[in-house]
Amino acid sequence: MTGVAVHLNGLRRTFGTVHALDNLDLAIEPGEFIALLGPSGCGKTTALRVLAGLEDADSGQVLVGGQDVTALPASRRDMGMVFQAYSLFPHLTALANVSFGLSLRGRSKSLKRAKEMLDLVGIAQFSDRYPHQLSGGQQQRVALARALAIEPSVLLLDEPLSALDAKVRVQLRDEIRRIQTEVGTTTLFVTHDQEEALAVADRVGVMRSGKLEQLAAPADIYLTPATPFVAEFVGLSNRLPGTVTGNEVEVLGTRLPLLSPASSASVTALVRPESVQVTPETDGNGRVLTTSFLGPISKVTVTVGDVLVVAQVATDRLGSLAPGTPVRVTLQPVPVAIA
Amino acid sequence: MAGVIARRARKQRAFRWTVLLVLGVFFLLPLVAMVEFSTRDSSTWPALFNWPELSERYPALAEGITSSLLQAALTALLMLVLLVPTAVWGRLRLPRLRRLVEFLCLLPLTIPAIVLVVGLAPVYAWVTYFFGGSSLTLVFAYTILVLPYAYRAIDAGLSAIDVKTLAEAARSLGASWATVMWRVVLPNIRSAVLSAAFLTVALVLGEFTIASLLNRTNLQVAINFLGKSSATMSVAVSLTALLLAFVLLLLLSLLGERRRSGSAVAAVATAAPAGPATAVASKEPAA
Repeated sequence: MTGVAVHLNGLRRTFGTVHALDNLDLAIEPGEFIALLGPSGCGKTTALRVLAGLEDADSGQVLVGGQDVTALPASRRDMGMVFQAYSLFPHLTALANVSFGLSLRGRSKSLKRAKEMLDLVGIAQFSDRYPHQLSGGQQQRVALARALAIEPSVLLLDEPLSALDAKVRVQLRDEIRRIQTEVGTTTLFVTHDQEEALAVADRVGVMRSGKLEQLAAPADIYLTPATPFVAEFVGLSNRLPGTVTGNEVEVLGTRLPLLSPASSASVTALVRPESVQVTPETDGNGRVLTTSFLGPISKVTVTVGDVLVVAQVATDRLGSLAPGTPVRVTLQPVPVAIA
Repeated sequence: MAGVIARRARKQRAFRWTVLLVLGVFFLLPLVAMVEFSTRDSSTWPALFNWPELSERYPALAEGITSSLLQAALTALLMLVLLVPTAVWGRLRLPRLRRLVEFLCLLPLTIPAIVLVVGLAPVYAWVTYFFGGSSLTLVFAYTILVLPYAYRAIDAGLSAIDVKTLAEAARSLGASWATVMWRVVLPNIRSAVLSAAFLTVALVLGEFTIASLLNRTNLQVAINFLGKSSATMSVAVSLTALLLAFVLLLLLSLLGERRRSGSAVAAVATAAPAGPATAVASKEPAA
């Protein structure tokens, strides 16, 4: 199975006065895994549903493998979809659920193929169970198997992990990536969880108000955000006052290169917690306010004058950074965005 | 302390049994009287279960039974064909219209049968013109009459599943709308559909007012008519109809217990008591 290219051209969709999709363009390479990320109401789910044929666009075009499918109903678009809500047919066993789409196509070997798919998602042993006998994670695995069984040209994942608990979520997320790589189906994954999007996708599209703010590899989204919105939405950022000189900005006494030119001299720079360094020093410029233990990496909040700065430190250093400790705060000279 | 609790438990038990006993006598006494009365003539019960003899001796009654059974079956069918797709479509595409549909479906409950007939009479002048005066034309009126009960049952069934997501999942797998209805929605609301059908049958078998006032024949009209000539037979038939309705409702509540979700059961249970029991009971004076 090899993937096909998907193009969304100039999609518009309004619900009342809300522009769910505002002239959205998105090109997905064959076999690529794209994650659409954004706050709720940004139009990411609408984009996916328009691609699936479950929602009509007011205008625009949907091309799958070069063919215009804009007018085709969902049942003829050949797309496998996994939903946020548990969507297995309650009256059918896991195996019957997976072979449902195959039986509609009149495949003679649908049972064999369904078994293979359950094997692929790792729950062949539960093939005779009904959905209510399966855990949430297992249900979503069956749903994934069901979507992939019909050998869809595109796989659509509509926040499939958001109803699951944290550990299962991470497990299944990695599993989805493994399976997608194995079958090579072009995949669109919609999520509001940035960690999820950054962890699995080839490219991440950050959406806002029906538009794509940036579409780039996860590392680029994080390190070189194209807009202040992307910088603030993806990852944590300190909002620190800075003064612009040329294409640099001076923040807390350190000169940092700018990602994009600034329009005024006095700006708010967005500095990642991991580029803030905190070292205990009796005549330092700051003082530790609070510390939070987060596993191997911990968070330290420091006051510098009347500015709050959040820094990320290795947990074994927490001992020397008790609240009230005077510290020196320095910034790594990595490029920063401004708000 | 333990003594107080034990005393209170004893009191409660005694109270429960008293209530049960009083209600039992209240409900059973008329039935016992019916059994006693209908067995005074020893030929009554054998005749009731001997169809050729029954249709020979009481042709009007036989006609009433056949029409009522046919009416019940056709009403259930028409109701399902109208209501299930409408309810599903409403949920999928017009969720905002749901309250309106619910209101419309509950309307027949609030209008007394006699008022309904006044409105139906001129309509039935046209029905008679197009379809003739057969008693089966009552099916149209009955379909409206059973809407409150049937809608409640089906709506509760649909509430227990996520129709929208299931339909979308099936659509994305390549199912047509007909396949979605037949292979995805219906199997999952099967007990709700059965409940609606049972309630319809029970209600139609007990209906008297509309049939009588529109000059059509059905079981209750025939029983009423028979009461004037053969009282024992009319009581025997009443009792049988009552037992049949009782069995239907019993089956229905058994079905309800088998359901995993409780919502459908509650709705059906509240809809049920207004069904045939009252209609049949109201026939007793005629006997």
